[in-house]
Amino acid sequence: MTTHMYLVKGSLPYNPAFRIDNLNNLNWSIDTPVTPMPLPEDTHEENILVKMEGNTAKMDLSWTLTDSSNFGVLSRGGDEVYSFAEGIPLDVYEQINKFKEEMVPISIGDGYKIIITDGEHKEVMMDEGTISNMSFSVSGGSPIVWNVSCAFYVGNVVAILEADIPPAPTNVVASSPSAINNLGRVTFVVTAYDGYASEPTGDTEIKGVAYKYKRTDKKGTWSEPQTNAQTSSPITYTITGLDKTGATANDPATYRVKVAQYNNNNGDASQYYWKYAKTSSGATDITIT
Amino acid sequence: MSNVKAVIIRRDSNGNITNRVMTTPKSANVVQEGLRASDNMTMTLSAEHNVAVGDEIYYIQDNLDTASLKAVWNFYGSFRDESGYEHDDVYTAPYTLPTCGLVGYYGVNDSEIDWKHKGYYKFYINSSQGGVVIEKKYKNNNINSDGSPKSGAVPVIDMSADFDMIFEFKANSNHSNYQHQTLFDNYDHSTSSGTGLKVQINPLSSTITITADDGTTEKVMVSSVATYDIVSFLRIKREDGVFKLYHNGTEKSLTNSTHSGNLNNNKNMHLFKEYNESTSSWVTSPDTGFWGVAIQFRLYTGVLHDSEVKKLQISKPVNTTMKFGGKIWKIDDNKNIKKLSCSSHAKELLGTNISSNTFNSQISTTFAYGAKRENNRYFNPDTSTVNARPQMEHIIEDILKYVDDGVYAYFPQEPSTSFYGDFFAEGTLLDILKVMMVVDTDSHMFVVTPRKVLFIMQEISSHHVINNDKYNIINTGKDDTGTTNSIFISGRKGKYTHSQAVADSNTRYTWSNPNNLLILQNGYYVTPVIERVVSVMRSNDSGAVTSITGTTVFNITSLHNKIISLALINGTPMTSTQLTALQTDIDDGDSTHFIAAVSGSGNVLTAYDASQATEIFGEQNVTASNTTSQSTYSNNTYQINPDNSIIFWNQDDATATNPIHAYVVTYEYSYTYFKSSSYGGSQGSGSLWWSTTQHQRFDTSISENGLYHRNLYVPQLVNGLDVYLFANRYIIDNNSMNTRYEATSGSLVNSLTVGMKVRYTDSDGATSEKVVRSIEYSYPQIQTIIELGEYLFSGFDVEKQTVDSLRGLDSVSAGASRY
Repeated sequence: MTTHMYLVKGSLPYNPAFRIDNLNNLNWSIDTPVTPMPLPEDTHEENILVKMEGNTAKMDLSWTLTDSSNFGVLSRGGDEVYSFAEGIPLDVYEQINKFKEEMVPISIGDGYKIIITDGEHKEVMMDEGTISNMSFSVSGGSPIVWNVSCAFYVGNVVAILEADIPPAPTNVVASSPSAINNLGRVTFVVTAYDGYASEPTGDTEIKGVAYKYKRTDKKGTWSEPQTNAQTSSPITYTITGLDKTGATANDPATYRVKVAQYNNNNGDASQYYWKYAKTSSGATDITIT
Repeated sequence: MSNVKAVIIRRDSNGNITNRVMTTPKSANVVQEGLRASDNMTMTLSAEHNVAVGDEIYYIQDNLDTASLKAVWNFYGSFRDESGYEHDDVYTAPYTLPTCGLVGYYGVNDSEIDWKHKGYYKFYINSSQGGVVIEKKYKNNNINSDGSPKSGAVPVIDMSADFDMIFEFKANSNHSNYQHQTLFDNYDHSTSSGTGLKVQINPLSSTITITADDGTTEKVMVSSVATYDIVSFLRIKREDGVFKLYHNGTEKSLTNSTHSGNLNNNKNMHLFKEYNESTSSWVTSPDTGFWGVAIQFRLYTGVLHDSEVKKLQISKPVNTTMKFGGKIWKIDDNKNIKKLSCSSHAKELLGTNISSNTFNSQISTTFAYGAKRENNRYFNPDTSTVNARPQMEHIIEDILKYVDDGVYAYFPQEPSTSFYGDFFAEGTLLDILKVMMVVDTDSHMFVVTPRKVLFIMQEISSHHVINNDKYNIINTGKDDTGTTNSIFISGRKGKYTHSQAVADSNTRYTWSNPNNLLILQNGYYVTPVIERVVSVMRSNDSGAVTSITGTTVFNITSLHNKIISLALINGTPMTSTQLTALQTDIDDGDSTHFIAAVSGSGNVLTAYDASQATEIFGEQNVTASNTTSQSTYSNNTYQINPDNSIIFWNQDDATATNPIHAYVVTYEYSYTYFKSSSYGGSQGSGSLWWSTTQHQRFDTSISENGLYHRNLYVPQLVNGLDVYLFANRYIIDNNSMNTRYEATSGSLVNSLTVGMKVRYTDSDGATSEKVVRSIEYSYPQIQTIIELGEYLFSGFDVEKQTVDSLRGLDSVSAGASRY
């Protein structure tokens, strides 16, 4: 299987996007600190492990820089297939300059992704985060081979923009109606955010709900946000055409769905406040029937 | 490019700038505390910056790049610029708001501006009378000593090349008389053809007109844009000599859009009305005044990227772009960085000690509605009416004239109640404001902005939501630091002197009936609590007499400068109430006196001059048991009864006679009460509730929470009713345990200000209103920590006060102690 790896900045279509086609090493690590609190006169099995800090995931990757057209634009079609438009050919030094001037983080709001696609150019892995270190090295013994190493922290890059967008819905209840033509469906009922003293009007008026979904019983990535213009509450909507390939009665397909409310500003802000849809029993994994 | 900016300014003794540093700080930590304590900031700069202790320092934090920002007016309590360049409205100290017909703040209801801006306190402007003159600033402070620009000086708002302008507003009138409503006027009429630029809207015909003139060529550009009754986000930019206009994010076509000339001039700018420099008057024919709500105006040199402007357009509203203003009081210089410790202007203002010395430059003044101040005592000079009672907002307005050379801007509308009695401006200004906030029934937001604006208004609910979407919220649990369910309060002990005439008749060797001593206050007669009798004068029945004939109205000019010991109406002695009213009119210098009790004509008012009286003295051994004994007293004497009435012993007159005597009683009293009032208890017990020393408790809270007692000393209040109201409202506001929340956001939350009332939704989805009590910004960590408090807990937040300004009962200022 041919895979491709991209380091991209910003949002779709990603520009600049750098295609890493000469990988030396990739290391994905997660740090999950736990503090032991062994009790006196007790066995090691009784040690109390306290998880006081959250996890930190980090990717270290390195590649060899060569003259190439690897600085380009990465876009994604409606069929979830990525396409990479190569840029103009650049030599090594021009690429280093481009990294220096355009790629490295400047603003705190600069967000990055590392995307790995399969032979069909579909996403198999994606992490969001930011670059914490980037180095370019060349040795006297091999003066024309430049190696690049990059340390990448996974996480949500804080949005400096304080967009005037709606809060997450108060509640989202999901269920799965019967599949049609072996394509699954998920219906969600949204109770809109009900904490307002009066409903937003004007520029802030809520236009409907946005949603995205991901298959969880097998490899899946989040779909791009889609919208449905409804304002009556509760809002009911059914997602159709969900792939359930490989699912059986004993091993059914499951999906997760996130729902947000949107107004005129969400699109410009590229920001939503999501809430997981849960089944009536409180599960976030929705079994597709 | 940075979203934050530090501005450090040094001035000489004349206030002229001698050094200005504008830079991006390496770090900043700003804490805004509102009413609870003073704002403070620590900031680090790289070491090469020329800063010194005592320099003014400002911190600006925006949603977009601050480097090219040359002016931003948020219209939050003033017309002062928050860009760091001080493009402020021109004034002569003490500051008064421009007379552009300001009628108040908008944003109470959704419809006043729109849903989004509710609770953001924007000016409503009616510029039929005039606009706002904005002082133009010049690069490198290139001005003469009189403030005029030097030859060749270039304005900070440089319109010689590219520039960008943003106007957010709501036009409220499309009347045919107002078809040239001015947003911005930098157009100099004094040159032959005019030079500069102006932007005017016509809500009736839905057009916007830009006039650009470089002194040679004038271009009038017109765009068809509907602006009436909607919030408009208007952007006008000139890039490479081409003007473009965007309305609510959409580009609109402009006629004659090309003009690359230099539009600079050296005249002041104007907002909301066009000014004619040739005639030195506002342009009124046709009327160029703006009618509507001003939300924000911004001016940039250079052109912003479209995405930046879009960011601003879709962001939540902002009240203040400048987050801190103050002075550097300490610098730690480790040769690599300078760490600056800064205290705010708010600390300087609120910590200013107010006393009679504050008013040395003008010891006495009369201000709004006839209220008066003498030294630091504010009082009602016309005791016959409530109209001239000193109102809180006018007291504050008066005090501010004498603080920091009168530089503070204040919109005198809140707090809006009057004091029943005298108010002594004593203690720090914060103490004074807190006392007012408690006595006033409304809940208020309160803030001192970095641009020296004291802003007090009623709390308005906003639609701003704080929930788990963007914030990490910690319930900090129950907080009893401010809980009070029992309070002992001590006001100022007043000492007033009053003379009063009392007429009485009793036979020889008897005590008279009790005579009420009364004082006219706010149109009502109230009883004084007698501290000491200074003198009692008894008429000898043959003193100087003045007889005046009238109807119900008598000409009393002949009685001026006299103390009347006895007055008869058609031979009948006046009651003490009637006599006091007569004396009051005499003392006021009134030419006539009205007596309702008589009718017709030919009535005779006979007045006895007290100067003909002889002094009588109180007996030392008067007791209840011997007051009927005729042998006990050898002289005419008197006694003050426990209910503050007075009785007279008649020793001199012949046994058979029953003469009328007039007594002038001069006494000192500490406070007054309404004797027949049932206010605060059964009828007649009212005096306890009018005392300047009172105790109140809230039994429900005591049984629920236990006893939380405080002793408070409030020397500003001298009237028992005011003390009662203070205690009552304090205990109502503070009798419960408070719930506090701390909300942390991983971004710089510019849209909140201390005092805003927001909607807080907890993790269970329940929503309630909370007031923002403090905000802490951390840069470059890009973190905002917000403390939210109970809605009612707004008046006298003593959580910090107990630490910051704890004072004992012997303090000269407001204080609190607790056990």
